[in-house]
Amino acid sequence: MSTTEISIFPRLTRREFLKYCGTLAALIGAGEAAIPDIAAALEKLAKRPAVVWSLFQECLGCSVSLLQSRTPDVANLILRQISLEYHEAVMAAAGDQAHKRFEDMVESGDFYYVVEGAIATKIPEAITIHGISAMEHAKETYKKAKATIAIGSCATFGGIQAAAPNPTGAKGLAAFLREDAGVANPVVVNISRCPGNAEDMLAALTYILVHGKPPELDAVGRPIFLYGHLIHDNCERRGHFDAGEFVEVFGDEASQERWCLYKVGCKGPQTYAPCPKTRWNGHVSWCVHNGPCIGCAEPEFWDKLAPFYERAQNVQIPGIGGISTTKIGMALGAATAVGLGAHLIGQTATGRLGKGGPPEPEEAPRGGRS
Amino acid sequence: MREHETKPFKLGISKHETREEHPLMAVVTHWIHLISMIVLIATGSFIHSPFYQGSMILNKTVHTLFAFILIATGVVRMYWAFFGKGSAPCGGRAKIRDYKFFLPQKENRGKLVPMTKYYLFLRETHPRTFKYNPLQKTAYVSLIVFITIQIVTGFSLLTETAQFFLPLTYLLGGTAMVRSIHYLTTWGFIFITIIHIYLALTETIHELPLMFLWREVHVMERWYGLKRDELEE
Amino acid sequence: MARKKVIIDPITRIEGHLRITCIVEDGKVTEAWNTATLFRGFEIFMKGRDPRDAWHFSSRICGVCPTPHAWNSVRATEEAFGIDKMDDNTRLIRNMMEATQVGYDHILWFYILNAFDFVNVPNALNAKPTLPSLKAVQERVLAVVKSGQLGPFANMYWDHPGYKLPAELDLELTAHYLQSIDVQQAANDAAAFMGGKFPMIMNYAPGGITQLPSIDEILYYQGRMREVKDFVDNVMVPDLLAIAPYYIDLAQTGKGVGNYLTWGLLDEASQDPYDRLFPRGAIFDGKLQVEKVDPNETRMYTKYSWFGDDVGGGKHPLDVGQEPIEFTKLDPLDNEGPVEGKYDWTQAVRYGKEDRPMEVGPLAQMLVAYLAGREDTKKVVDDTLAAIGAAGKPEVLMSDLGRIAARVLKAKVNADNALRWSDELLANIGAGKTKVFESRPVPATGEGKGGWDAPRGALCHYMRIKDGKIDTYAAVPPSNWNLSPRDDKGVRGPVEEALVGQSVVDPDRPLEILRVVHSFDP
Repeated sequence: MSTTEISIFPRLTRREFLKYCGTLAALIGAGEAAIPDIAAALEKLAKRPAVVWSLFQECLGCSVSLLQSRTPDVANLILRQISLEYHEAVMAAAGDQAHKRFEDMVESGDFYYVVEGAIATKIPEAITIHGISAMEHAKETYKKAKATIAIGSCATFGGIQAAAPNPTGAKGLAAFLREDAGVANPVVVNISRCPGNAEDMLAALTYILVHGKPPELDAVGRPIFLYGHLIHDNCERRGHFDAGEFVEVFGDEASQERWCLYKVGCKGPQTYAPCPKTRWNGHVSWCVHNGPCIGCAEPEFWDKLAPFYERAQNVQIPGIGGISTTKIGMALGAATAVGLGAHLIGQTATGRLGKGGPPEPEEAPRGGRS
Repeated sequence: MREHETKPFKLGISKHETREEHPLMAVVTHWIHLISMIVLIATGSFIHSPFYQGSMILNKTVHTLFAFILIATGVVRMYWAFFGKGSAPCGGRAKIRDYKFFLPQKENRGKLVPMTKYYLFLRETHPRTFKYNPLQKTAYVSLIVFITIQIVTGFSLLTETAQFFLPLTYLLGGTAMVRSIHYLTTWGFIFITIIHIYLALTETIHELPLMFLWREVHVMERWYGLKRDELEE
Repeated sequence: MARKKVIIDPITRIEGHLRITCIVEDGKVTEAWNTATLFRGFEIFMKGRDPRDAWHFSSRICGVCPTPHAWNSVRATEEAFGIDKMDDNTRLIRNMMEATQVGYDHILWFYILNAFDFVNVPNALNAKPTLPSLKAVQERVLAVVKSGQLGPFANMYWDHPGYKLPAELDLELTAHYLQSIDVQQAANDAAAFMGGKFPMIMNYAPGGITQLPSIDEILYYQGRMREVKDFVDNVMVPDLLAIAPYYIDLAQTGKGVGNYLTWGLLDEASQDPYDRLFPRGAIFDGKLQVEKVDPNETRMYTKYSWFGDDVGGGKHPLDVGQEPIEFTKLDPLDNEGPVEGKYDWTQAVRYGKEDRPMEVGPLAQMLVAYLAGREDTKKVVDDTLAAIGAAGKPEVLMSDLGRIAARVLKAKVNADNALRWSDELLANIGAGKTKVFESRPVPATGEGKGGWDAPRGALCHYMRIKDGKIDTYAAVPPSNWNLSPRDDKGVRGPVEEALVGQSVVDPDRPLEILRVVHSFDP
């Protein structure tokens, strides 16, 4: 076995290294033929790619999710593959020393930028770091970074704090750059979901390192190679859906058979995400194995996919809030029934029933009705 | 029925020539559309919320199949509306291109308010309008609009075409919104159809046979039992 | 007189965003302010939503400890729905989920968030290990240092005299730091196999659990939790005992307010909050005596928070809310004077008629459990006290070192019991008891509350339902208690109080302040 050490992976043998490249190739959908290219590209990187990770309006869930990464494992990731130069929850330094690190890195321009958390635009001081608002932080850092990845629902689409009425004016990074920072066409790779999945993020980062450009993105900025399919399309319970076998209430016999959760509100059919494929926590499980999906990969899912335990979603009507589509249908139905009922009485009373009213007396040129 | 006092069919029909208020093309597509609609609404309701123990994949397949039937006949119907001979409005045999009936027509000018008043029992007599009165026209045109919405949102929801429509999906407000639009528009269909059937049955039931037997002479003969000779003026 | 204002912003290695401002005079902190620099407005945007969805929202308050937030929220909702008692399987599964949370969280905190205050990583290179595994770790550290890309280790005050461990221990703790990553994963894998994923589990719902775990999932759970237990028993507790002698002076510092509060956590069969593995209770004024407490005695104040003055005013959390927002200004970094006026996004929380500031966290949980006579807690605490030469003196725990020790020991008690609950669940399933859910319609009106500690301390959610929707929702998380700003009377919060009097060797490298703050796991 060759023990050639590759600079960024000092403890990997050649064979292990190529195996790792193979995993990456599969992750980014490049196929086996691309393995030598990926290996060459990674080998060329004499330095470990530096990562600056900003925390804005967040709950740290995405970082905790990063700590659950298995391929690669976290220790290898942080010590060998990337250099996590600034991450408030992981770094040893604090206060002025921490901020100095941030400034130095941004100054150098030699880093990849990962954003976790939303940016408050209505009350910029709702999130400050070292006395500087997230708005300023994000704007300056984005401009200097070699590439930018937003991880998690908050950084991508504003997340929970952007739920109506969005008290702090929270926005995802791309929306903030476009609407508030005057960046015409921001390039942000959106790794959505709540929390963001570390392995997705690393796959996207690797894609950028290997190809030198971000992957192809969908209409809302998510890499298509990860977010190209509905959860529903690859769901483990899909067979039961097709067969019309549904859980009616949690804990019933159907639920012990793990039948489809469609009727108890699963949002898999409305959600583009790789959950059934990548799963979570070392691939042991994923949400739909244990409960209905809430659609956390979709923009504004807190408003648009709620209520989570109902089949029919609410429609957001400005000024009124969410109204169930079923209720709208029923209200219209009731109104029609009442209207037609009243009309029928009217027709009987006026003697129109069955023949309509008498035609207008004067002769129209070519009149008539069907 | 036979004693109907208005006798609307004494309108110069000869033995040899027949007037077509609803030509064969319109009649056939009308009923195919109705059947498709009923199937789509039934299967769509099942897909929306499965209300009996049935196969989802069967419902989905049938739903998609009838959607394509509806689209195909819809295309034919649209072609005919623009390029076919059209139909004759009451009062003559001369045919007018079908699409014109769905656009504002000078004969109907100023009839919207009287028509509304008539339906609200605020006037006694039925205003004289062209083939379709303004309210009718609005209802039929909105059906065309609705069906376009259904086609677009339907393809946005169909697995095979969803990716292509994704930019539109998010423009409309996301996957759930598209689903809600598809669902609510169906209700629009249902209501217009119910009102249509209601008025057809209560206001103009004597004209109903025209929707089955597209030639007036057929209606006269086979429905009202009149002899062809009696039709001659 | 040497007077210096020290602002640490950001405080790193915590969940959330925190600034600590201290006035240091003659090497001692004389005044302190804590400022949460993040506001999201949960209580505003949760209004008007479907009560059943509340727990999905409120789990997102904390991505490190979403599970107890979920427990609080579903219980508040269930209480409002009229479900007074969980079925036994639901209780057990929720306990099992919570046990993974406690296990992972305390490991994460001890090694990944807190260790760098005590463990000097570069000093590990001076060790002369004989074990191959330790040599390997040393090589890894060396490779990082040689590469010049220090990553997370950059810019720390590694030359601070406060680091006291010998090189061998520094190396061993560094090795355990790396190992702890795998072990916290084991705990979370156990949670994920039953709950879908971690963070943000998916198997709770008002009414019970969405999915009865299959036997293989329970066995997997037991296997992974056994790994956690092994690590806690064989690595974490010994590490605590190994470093404690070097930092024994921390037993004298960071005493804080002397009031301790816990709502309790981990239900026993009775589901009585005073009969939990960590029972409900409070200790007032440092007296070794447990008092009964009521979550409805929580009072909120906003004179020093960026909300209208009368938003708080001593009201019950459900009557407070987060509006109107009145942001004034963030103390400028170049201001040499004291912090004035409103200074925090956190609202001040006080307990009872006396408006006491309460310290919450594992220390409170362990003290209450110890004084309430819980066997497993009593044993580990007594053993540890004996090991550090303070047998029979639990009051020494009321310190920085005590907070650290309490976390480690709680992790042990927790890991010991996790397997017990999973066995009980297996027995229930074996006996044919498979009920995990009770379906109830959303009521028009209702009110409920939780009251179950997060790993970092007392947590309670409150919910009021009107017209079938959430009318008001309030969450009082541990950081609200520990990181309270001053209340309307100007009384400092627990962290502020613990900081005052702390000696600081070098105000430019305020390691001691970090230690006090981190000991609260903010």
